[in-house]
Amino acid sequence: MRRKKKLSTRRRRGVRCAAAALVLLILAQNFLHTALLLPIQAVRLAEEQNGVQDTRAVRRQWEPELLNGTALFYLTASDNAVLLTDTYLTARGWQPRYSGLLDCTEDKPLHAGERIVTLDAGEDAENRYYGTHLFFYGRVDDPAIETVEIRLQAPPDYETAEGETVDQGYLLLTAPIFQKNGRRYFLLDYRAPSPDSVKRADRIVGRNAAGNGVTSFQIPVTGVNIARRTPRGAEAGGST
Amino acid sequence: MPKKQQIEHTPLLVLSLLAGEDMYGYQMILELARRSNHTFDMKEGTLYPVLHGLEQKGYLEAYRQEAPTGRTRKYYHLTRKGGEALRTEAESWRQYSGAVDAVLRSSALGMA
Amino acid sequence: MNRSEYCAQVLSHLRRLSRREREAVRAELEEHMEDRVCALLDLGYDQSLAEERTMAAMGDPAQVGREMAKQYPRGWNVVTGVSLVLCVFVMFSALSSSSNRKMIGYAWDSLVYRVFPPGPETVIAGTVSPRGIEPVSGVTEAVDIRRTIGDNVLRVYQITVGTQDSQTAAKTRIYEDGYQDGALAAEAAKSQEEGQLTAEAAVCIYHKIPGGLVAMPLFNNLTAESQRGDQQVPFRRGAVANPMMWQVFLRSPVQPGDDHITLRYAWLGERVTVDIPLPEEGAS
Repeated sequence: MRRKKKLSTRRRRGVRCAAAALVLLILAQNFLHTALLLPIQAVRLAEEQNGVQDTRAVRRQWEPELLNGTALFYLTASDNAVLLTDTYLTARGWQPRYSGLLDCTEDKPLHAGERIVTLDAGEDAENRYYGTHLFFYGRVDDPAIETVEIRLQAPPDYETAEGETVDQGYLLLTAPIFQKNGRRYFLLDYRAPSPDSVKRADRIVGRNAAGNGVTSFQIPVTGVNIARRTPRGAEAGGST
Repeated sequence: MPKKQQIEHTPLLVLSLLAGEDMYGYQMILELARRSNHTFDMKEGTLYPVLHGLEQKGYLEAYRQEAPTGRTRKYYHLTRKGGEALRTEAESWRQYSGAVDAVLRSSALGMA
Repeated sequence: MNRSEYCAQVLSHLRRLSRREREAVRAELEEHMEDRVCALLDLGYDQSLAEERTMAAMGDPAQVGREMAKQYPRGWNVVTGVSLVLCVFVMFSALSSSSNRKMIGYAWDSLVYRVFPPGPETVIAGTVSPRGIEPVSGVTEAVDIRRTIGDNVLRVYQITVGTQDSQTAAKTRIYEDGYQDGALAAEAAKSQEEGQLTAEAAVCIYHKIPGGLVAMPLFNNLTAESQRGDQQVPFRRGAVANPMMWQVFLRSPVQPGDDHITLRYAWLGERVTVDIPLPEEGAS
């Protein structure tokens, strides 16, 4: 006896469209790894590829200038690894780009990594590589360490700005330590005027309350890339 | 005042009408008049906003089918959700009318 | 006022409805009035009186129109609109870049290969430079050893013991030279050219959840060794172009009498060893 075709209502159409959109979204996100709506999803993708599990977000930093006008850097950590991943927004959703991974399974007082982004003004620019954006990140495991000092290689002719100290050819920076999920981490970024990314040999010193060095080593570079800047006003005809 | 009450209880009446069989609007008006012995002679146009509201809520589903008159009409069918709503609404209506009854009866006794 | 005027007055309150919704309301009201008029005509009313009575029975069109407008809240239309935008975005995201389009094929392959792992020939055909790479020829045995490593599953599905042809060994050396210690590669290749007995494990690695990406370290840090600890040139051939399903062939030198080889994996404090028994007649 029943039934002719049901007549649609706004509600039914709304529910149907929402369900279709949800299914499409889940399929695209799960199988094609695209259409990610949140940056943290892009970070999780990067973690999956790096074989790191059970991470939690520690800190994020918005650096739009470094990629596509939307770069968001994420520091995430599990018990045995720390990752610095940069994500950016495209018309296809959020995407991860590079992940720097610190293996923290070894029992060390301090784990640190350095991410180098060379700033590129484009081929036509007079001063093409106009600087370097450095990220220093890591985990402080030794409770005795109270301050983390980054010793940055400074060019011989470096002119110190106000509040900066140069010691034996190194520019001294202090990385702020913060507590998160029961551990101590640091994340510091610095815009260096020189583009000498390849030859960088920056050091890190963990100091105790008395100011004595507990540990000191050269910071391993966990990632290098170039951030190309599209000159303002130059559209399609400008740089490539 | 009785008019106002009619409008408020139209959804309940509609749901209970459709509990038996699927109907279209005009048929519901006739059936309502017949069952209530012409107590609920509502303005017929006001039935449709009620029907569409119940349909949007998911209490009713509609489909088009040929009526016994030979003309195609929009039939309404009570959904499971509508059936549940009918049950709870009818229950609260019974409580309400029982309470009104009790008050009326006690005042009648008092007057006697 | 006639029937169509009545409907027009009701509809004048329903401007927010779509055209289709308005037409449905109009049709329903007209049908109702048609039924009412016909009934009155049957009772002997004349046409104009029947119309008049019907209009009176319908009630105030303005009230009907206002009440009707309230039954069409905009919320669900917003839901529909947002959902459609989301659908367009997802389709664009999935189909507008060639790498994302390729992922559709990879996802499908990864589902199929979970159930039916491909043979060595298929895998070799899927590698970046398949020319001249031959699988180990010898005694083959199907096995099914599965181990969960992190979020991934390592499945050994075939073990072969035999000899690899020297041509393949030489080619392997060339491929591996890029990231392999030259002296070790040369030494290993020499032993291969002498007809070293070799075990080849066919392994596939996939995510626990279909569609998930395989962790890169599982490809880079997985090694095979004989029961005496001998390792071959890290021989890895696999259809690694698919990020959701890797087929990897791992080779290890073996000697007559060996009964198993061992796969080893270490990453971020996680250590996994998997022993794979060799086919009996192959090793003896």
